[in-house]
Amino acid sequence: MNKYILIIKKYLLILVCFLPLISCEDLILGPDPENTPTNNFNILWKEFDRYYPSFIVRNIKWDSLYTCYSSRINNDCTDKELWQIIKSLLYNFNDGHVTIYNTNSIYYNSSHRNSNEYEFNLDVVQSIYLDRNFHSAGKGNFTYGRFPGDSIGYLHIAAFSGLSDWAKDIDNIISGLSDVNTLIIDIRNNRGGHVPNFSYIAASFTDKDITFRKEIARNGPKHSDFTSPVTQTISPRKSSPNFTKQIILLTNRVTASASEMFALFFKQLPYSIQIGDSTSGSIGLIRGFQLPNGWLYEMPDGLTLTMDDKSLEGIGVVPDIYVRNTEEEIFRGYDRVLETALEYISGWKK
Amino acid sequence: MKSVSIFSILLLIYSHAFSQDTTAKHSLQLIVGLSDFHVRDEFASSLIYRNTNFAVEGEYMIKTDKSIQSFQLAGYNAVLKTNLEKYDAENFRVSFRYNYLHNISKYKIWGNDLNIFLGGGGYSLLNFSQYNEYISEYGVLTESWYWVHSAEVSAFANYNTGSNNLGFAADFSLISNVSRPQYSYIPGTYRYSHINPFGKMEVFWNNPSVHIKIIYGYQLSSRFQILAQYNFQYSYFDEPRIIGLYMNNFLTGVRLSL
Repeated sequence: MNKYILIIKKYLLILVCFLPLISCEDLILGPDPENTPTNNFNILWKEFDRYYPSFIVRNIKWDSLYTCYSSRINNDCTDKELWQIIKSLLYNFNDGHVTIYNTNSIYYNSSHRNSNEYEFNLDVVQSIYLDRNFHSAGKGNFTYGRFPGDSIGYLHIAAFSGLSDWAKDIDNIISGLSDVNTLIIDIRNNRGGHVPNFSYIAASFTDKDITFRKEIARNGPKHSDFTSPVTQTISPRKSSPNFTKQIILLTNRVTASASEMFALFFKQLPYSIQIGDSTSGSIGLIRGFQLPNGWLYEMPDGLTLTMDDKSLEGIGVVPDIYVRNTEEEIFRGYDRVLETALEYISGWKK
Repeated sequence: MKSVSIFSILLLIYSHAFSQDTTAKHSLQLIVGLSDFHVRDEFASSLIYRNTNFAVEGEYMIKTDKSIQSFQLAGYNAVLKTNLEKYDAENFRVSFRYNYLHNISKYKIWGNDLNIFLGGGGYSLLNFSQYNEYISEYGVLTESWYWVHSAEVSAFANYNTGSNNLGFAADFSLISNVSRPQYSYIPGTYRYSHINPFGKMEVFWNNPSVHIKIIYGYQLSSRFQILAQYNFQYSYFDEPRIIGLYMNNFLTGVRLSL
């Protein structure tokens, strides 16, 4: 028995020799980055420098901004001071996809645009214009109906987000509205979502392949390092109904991200016009990054280009007819943008 | 072409191994325990993510007086944590290792046999993580992976007292094929991850990988052995950003002679 105890002791001794490896995270992987104001600022600056795709199209002098703002940072800065300095730095992006959050989910978005969501109210459309004769589908993302007279259909899409199959409800909606002469598609206040959702819905409005945008992304440390462009084509679904009569697309400044790609698609359709305000001008997907102090920041990853290689970052998809509601008009139940669309349709009828 | 080359090397080792002996003893081993895993993947985060999780490993071994062949399969799943509360990562790892070891010398120590083996083999590890945040509505920072296939040089020392058995093994990568995410987003895919099983060929100084194993076995009967095992695995690569990872595995189980 003693012999076995002796052997086990020897084996344990060998194991103990390896214990330093077990507890030496710092030795093997190095320490976690320091959580100091200076280091947090530097990490944020460097990650934007590596990945942000729109320095050139938005004419942002990133090195100069570092010189300007880093001089205000030292390790005695409070969290509040650091938050203010980073907000000031990010303000220069004027990009709806550039956001910073603190650990309490309080955030700052760098867009300067007057994207006033109160310039649109779906309740006004439902109660005043559709006379409460509307339906809901797609997990609440679709609101649709007909205006009095039955020849003009209305479809509001609240968002393109979510990973479920809600977008497939568009097939039933198109079947139900197939006899209208004109369809008003309203993506006002639609902040975007998943590309596959808008792609599925868009396919209901074409009977041929439509190639409507290009996408590039950073592939190197220089601000001009980009991948080759990849185009997106929407193809009609043969098994589903489609609507290729007159279409009016309504947009506003809140229409953003994937919704802007949706608007770009409609620009390619000869039977569609866009009425309202320019879209947000923040077209792309978002990637999140963290700071050692726990703050989260987001930036766009890919850059969307039109088919003639123009970036609409900071510009948005420009309407064919510019018209904008005021908050006061919406408050009293008047939707000037929708009125303009209806008026335009009456011109078509004549 | 790269995958064919690696496969050919493995096939060569394997066929060589099977031409050696006819008096082979076959055994099957199943061990479970804990894996203490640490990773810094700067593609996703500059912070270290870590946790201890359940681990399971299996091994099929063919042993003769002159050689040992083993086929090892291991799997791990964990929710990794950082020092920050509102971040974690869903991680899974799967690894496969094949070893062929030839007995190069035999010593008597305290009246018992110490056998030294030298050889090589192949190793494949897939480490995949989805990095989550609980601050914004999106909830996901990014996904990242490290998938490596290595040709290794291996050594094994085995001290046997009859009912007790102590082994020490070490494996070092020589050449590897490494798959990692691209520099950033992949246009047209709407995501970062597009996991390719094969990537760049690298030599060991660019992609060092070390595996150390200490195994203790106690013979319960002629067919059953109970086992206690400690593994240490370390890997490093620096594209598109640095990834360093290591795990300490503490496992126990049984080996059944077939």
